Amino acid sequence: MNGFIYLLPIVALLVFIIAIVKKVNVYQTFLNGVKECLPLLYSLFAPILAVLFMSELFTISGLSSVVLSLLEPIFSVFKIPTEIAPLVLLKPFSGSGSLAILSEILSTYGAESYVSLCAIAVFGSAETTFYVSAIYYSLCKNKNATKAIIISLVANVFATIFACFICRLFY
Amino acid sequence: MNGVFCLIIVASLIFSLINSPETFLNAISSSCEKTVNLMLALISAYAIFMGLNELLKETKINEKLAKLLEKPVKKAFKVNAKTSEVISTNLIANALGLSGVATPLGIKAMKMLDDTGNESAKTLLTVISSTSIQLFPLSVIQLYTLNGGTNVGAVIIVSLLSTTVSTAVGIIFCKVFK
Repeated sequence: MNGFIYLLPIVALLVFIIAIVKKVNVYQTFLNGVKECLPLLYSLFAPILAVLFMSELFTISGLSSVVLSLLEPIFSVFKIPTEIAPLVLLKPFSGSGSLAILSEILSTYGAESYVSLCAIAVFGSAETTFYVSAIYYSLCKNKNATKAIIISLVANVFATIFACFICRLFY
Repeated sequence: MNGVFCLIIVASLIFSLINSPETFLNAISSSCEKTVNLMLALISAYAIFMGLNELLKETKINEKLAKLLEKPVKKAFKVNAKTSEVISTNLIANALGLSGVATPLGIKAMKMLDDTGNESAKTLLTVISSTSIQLFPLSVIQLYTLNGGTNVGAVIIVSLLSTTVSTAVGIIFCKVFK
């Protein structure tokens, strides 16, 4: 498994070498990319704050423990840890929001816990279904995305169950 | 998202009014503090990789890779060569995590499919995109490392496996329910 620590540096090295061979202005291009990070963060600030505020209220009001105990029987049938329920439920609606929830889970339960690995797998399994569908159908004349949304959501449920199963093999 | 937000906020507020009204101020301060910390974490998750992504884009490797996909895409989506080229470039950009390149191409491809009335291909493309096909979950890896995780291999493996399953299930459903 340790071989993976080589993967990202090797990919980075390859990108640099190919860019140099192709006579790309490496430094300036790199700067142009990095520069885009701040506008991105700027656009993420409000949705992340909104979702964290929502999730804090949800948790400390005590409502989350009530809702989670209601969901527990369903989640336990599929052996999905209830701790990741907020992520599973929010994922189709908000990408930045679920990133915030993922970060919460990682810091609460520790990055190397079983719960965190499940959260990572669930996060990686899907994009923000409703957002992607809305954007993709935006210029179409026939904007009926119902079928695409339903299929995506069902696929996500399968992937969530499968992801938690795979994660159990690591523990 | 609007509905979800309203529902949870209103229900939580009513709940906290009954149980513990003092928690509201706590929620404000802790959510702001967490947001600032996450923004800092996201700089380390995104900044360098966005620089690398830009380099990758300039080398046009993504367009070369897309050429390899054109034939299978043409068959799977039942489209002409031109649409197949746009879809392939979109899929490769999504797989490499170049979302800035992928999204406009996705919209363009959807419009081309819409003009020819190819509804099943529209559904297929949307399902593939929204079940995620990203090869390296870079921001997740970085958040994982920042929180003290060391087993990057496990992160990459579980992410790849789960996204493969979601996309595969999605494609199968698209083919079954035409």
